[in-house]
Amino acid sequence: MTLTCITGGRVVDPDTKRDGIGDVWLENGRIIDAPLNAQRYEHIDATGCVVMAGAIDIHTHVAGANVSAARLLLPERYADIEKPMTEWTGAPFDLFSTGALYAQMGFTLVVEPAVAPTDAVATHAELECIPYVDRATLSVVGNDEILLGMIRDRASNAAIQDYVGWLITTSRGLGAKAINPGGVAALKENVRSFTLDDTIPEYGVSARQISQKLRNALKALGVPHPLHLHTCNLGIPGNIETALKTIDAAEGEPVHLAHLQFYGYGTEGDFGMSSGAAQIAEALAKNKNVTADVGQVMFGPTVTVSSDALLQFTSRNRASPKKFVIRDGDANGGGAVPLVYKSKSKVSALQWAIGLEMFLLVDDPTQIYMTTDHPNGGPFTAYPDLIAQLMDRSVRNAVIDSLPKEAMEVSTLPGISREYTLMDIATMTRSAPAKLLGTMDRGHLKPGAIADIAIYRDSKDRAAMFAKAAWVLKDGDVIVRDGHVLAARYGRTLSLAPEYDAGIKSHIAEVYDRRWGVGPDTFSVPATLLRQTSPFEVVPCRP
Amino acid sequence: MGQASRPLNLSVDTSAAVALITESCNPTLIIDAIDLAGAAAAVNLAKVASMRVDHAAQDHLAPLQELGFLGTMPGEAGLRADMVLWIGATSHFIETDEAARRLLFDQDNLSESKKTPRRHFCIAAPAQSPSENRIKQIPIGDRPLLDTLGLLRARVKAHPTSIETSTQDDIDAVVAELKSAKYGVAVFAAGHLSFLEQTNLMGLIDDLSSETRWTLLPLDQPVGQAELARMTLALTGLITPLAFLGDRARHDAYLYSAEQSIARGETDLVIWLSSSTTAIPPRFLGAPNTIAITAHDTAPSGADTHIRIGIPGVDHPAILEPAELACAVAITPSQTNSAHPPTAADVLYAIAEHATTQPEVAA
Amino acid sequence: MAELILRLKATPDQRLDLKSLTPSRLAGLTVPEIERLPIATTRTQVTVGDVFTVSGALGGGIRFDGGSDRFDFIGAELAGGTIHVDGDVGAYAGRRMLAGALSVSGNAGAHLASAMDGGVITIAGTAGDCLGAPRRGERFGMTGGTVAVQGSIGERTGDRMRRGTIITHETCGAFAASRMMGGTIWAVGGFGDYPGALMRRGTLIAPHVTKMLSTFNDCGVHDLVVLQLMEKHFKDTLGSLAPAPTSGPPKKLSGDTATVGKGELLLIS
Repeated sequence: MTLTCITGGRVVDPDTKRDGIGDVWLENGRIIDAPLNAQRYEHIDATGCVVMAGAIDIHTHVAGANVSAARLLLPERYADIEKPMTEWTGAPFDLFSTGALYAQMGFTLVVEPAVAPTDAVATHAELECIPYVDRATLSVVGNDEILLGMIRDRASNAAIQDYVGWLITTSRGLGAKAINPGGVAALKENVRSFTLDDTIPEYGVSARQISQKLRNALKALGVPHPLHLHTCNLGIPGNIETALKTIDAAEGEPVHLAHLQFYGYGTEGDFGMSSGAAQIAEALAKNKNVTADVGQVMFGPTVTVSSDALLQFTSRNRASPKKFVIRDGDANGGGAVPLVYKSKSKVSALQWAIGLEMFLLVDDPTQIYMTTDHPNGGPFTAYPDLIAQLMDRSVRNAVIDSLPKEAMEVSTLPGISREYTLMDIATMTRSAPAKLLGTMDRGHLKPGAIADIAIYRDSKDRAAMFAKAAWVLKDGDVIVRDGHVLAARYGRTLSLAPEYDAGIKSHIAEVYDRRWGVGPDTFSVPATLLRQTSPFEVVPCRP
Repeated sequence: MGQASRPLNLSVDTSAAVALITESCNPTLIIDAIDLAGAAAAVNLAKVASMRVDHAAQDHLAPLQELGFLGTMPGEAGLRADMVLWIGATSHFIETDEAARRLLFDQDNLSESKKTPRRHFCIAAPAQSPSENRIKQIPIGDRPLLDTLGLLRARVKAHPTSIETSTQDDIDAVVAELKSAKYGVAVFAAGHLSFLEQTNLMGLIDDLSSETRWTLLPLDQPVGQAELARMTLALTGLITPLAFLGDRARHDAYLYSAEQSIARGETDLVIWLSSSTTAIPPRFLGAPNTIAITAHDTAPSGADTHIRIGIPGVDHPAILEPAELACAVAITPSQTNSAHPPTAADVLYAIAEHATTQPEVAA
Repeated sequence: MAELILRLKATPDQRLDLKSLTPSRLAGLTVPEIERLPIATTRTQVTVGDVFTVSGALGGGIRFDGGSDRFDFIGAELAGGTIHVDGDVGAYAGRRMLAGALSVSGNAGAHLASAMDGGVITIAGTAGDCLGAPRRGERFGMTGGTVAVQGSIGERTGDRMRRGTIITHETCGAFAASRMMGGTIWAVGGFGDYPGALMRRGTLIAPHVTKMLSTFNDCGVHDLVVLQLMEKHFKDTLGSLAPAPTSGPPKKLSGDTATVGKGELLLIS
């Protein structure tokens, strides 16, 4: 691949603390040192532009059975409109649009964070159809019969570690996620609310125990990404207590809390809901072991897709329009419940404010990550607007002025003056997520890094600037020019290959045989799926 | 769109099919048995050649689009159901569907903590009711299923009905039993129930779920439907029947229905795609031209042109969704077929490469 | 008033999507511009000029001189003015119609008045299944307006209907008013099997029904003033298409108690 130099742009690269006009050289899909005497090379004139590494979305529901169910459930949001498929209507984008829309915004890696191991084959097949960007997944564990049975039966930590290693390997995840651990299993016993220290009937195991066992297993396996935890009581006023207890329960060990905005709810105020963002920020400042993505709410129609079957079951009667898919799975199951975040709704307005408070009150941009928990809080295509709200107080205030006063009275957002810098944005969306996932050759522009580069035409209108990149390079190839995708190219799916003792398979075989009458490798994801070449690339575990 | 897995050495002549497709005004691709890769390739072909796409058993998914679903998985039902409600003609699956019988009937998998034996009920006309005497018949007389389901729903909520008191007492006794389930599973087959019957069934399950756990377990899903739906949803956002025209797919169960389009004389070319040896159903014959892409050795009856493909999971590795698992798994055949028939995906990508990408412009 | 006339040249060899042929969508276009509008639904491109001889001038009205059961989406989103079809129409005529009048001298296909919101549709012949129903997945069928059909109408009429009126002077097919949430269906020739399945609210009026669900309950005979008001209203707005006046108080049934059960069926004489 040709030697290329991106010249004249403002390079913003947190890993090297670089923020100034300069060149970025690349060759054969990698960033390189400036050659001593280059004569023939391609030239990208980035004068007037901001140059960053490709962005990473660590938590976006773009594929899998629940997303598929959401599409099936909402034909009216697609079938009878003359709009392009790339316009958000509240139903999940098709996969081609998903890749194109991410690429246009300068993203080069997206993580589907909730893959049920039994659905991993189909999900990976879907992910293979997302063009332009690289993909990765997290494997869901924590409500499955095998893990819960092992904890109940006091299996050794080594055995649990082997099981988790086997699960991540066979489902080709880049890490593991627990979704309302224990709560979903409890729903199957007709339990309708479940918190950190409640125990699952039949197993006598609590959410706290499950998370602790999983944390230890991932650490021992050397999985770079810490346990990705969707804790219990999502969306329920007063769940700030659950969030704080979950942070304490991590006992100083690394844990990533998913879509924390949905847990930032106090019970004060006239409508029984208030912002707990300040307490969350305080707890994060004291617990540097904890990272979180926000799960920002953006106004408009959407559909919640979640493997938290307990949450989806209990919120089904709030569906708008009133229809829903809820499925008890062989572990988590999950569902799709459509809803609308209305800017006139006090609750929705406060959710929006709480999310922004979290972004702005957590000082360390390596601890807080930009997500809308797509599509649960809103579509990922809202990121440019969200960036504008973070970087420009006047943009934020214009939204605040349009919202119900009662909601703003129980939030501190109107009084917050902080504005994100470009360096903050690059940290939050590039360098920090790359490290959090263990993809060390991404998220920065140091020589040796993968040449995933986003070049934005600098503008005071941050939303416009980040919506359509001037250029995006993937592995050194230009995939976006002037905000438009070029011919489709397909990337890789990142996965792990942790070491584990395969002896654990005899136990798994026993359970699978009883449950389905099938062997333990039945749900394993093969190296090739829809095409004749493998999409997978292995990211190394920690030694 | 699912990028081409270009066949390396496709030794099959697709030129006749390509010529027919290129000349067709309104080519309609009807899909029966298919693997995931074949389904992705079918969507790709339909897009590049502006085709209609339908599944051979279309419209079974309509209730999911209108109402959604409160369901469970076969493995979960097998482990947890302490009560099974067999609906309508579904009741005979106990005799015909081995997996259903094993999971829900023979092998009482209930865990140690649930000592009560599994209870079985059926709502079926006498002719449809199973011979198993462990299944208790719900007394419905000669009432149609829609009415019976409505009655149960009304009585779950203690709403009045117009039936005689003695019959209502019988219904109330059934309702009391249904409410006593810890994890009730209603077994049904979408193809055997009308839209309104399914709507009332879903409503019944949702009504019962306000207090206890009740879910639905679909059985007897048409072959290839899950695989095709998964890929059309992923690649277009929609399910069949689809029409690709311009830059986007459109879905309309009436306008684009293959069966109805053929009956109305609107389809000039049918492409029957089935990676099996099923005969082309008569309702899909009758278009001026028919291409069959099937696992038959020779052209099946009604086909003008035939391309032989392999059986996924038998002749070549494939991703399929076995009904008893209700999720897609990769299946590697134990032996390879010495004839090496191409896969559906191979053939469809080869056709797509040559089929016209631009709609013909009328003079 | 000036009319734009579209004379059918020959039976079209494919279904046509005619939603662009409404007064508001054609406003400001010249005849050659109208002739160039695409209306194809298959790979073979077809324009208005290929199928119709266009004449006259748009003055708020459009007349189709000749119809076909392949004319889909006639009068879709009609927001005012009139469309008359001298012949048959296909599916989805009057889809999401807002105001104005659509009249058809022949028969209408399926999904007539799909999710219609306002205006008046009159059909001299028969109408197909799913009259006034929603399109797949939509929340509501008809939310307003009036549809009067001289002939019989098909099954699932008024599915998920919320407001508005549907009248047939002959019979209304099976499973009418399924999932109905409001509005009125008057079947002068009676209802077929099982009207009102999963009906929440709304009013059904007919002299007889072939089969009823057990989840409709007899509420006795009522002298309903509202029925007389309705009759007068239809007489005023529909003239000869209004149902003949009823004689004597109707018998009332309410249901479907499988759901909330606040719908009513009035058996008139």
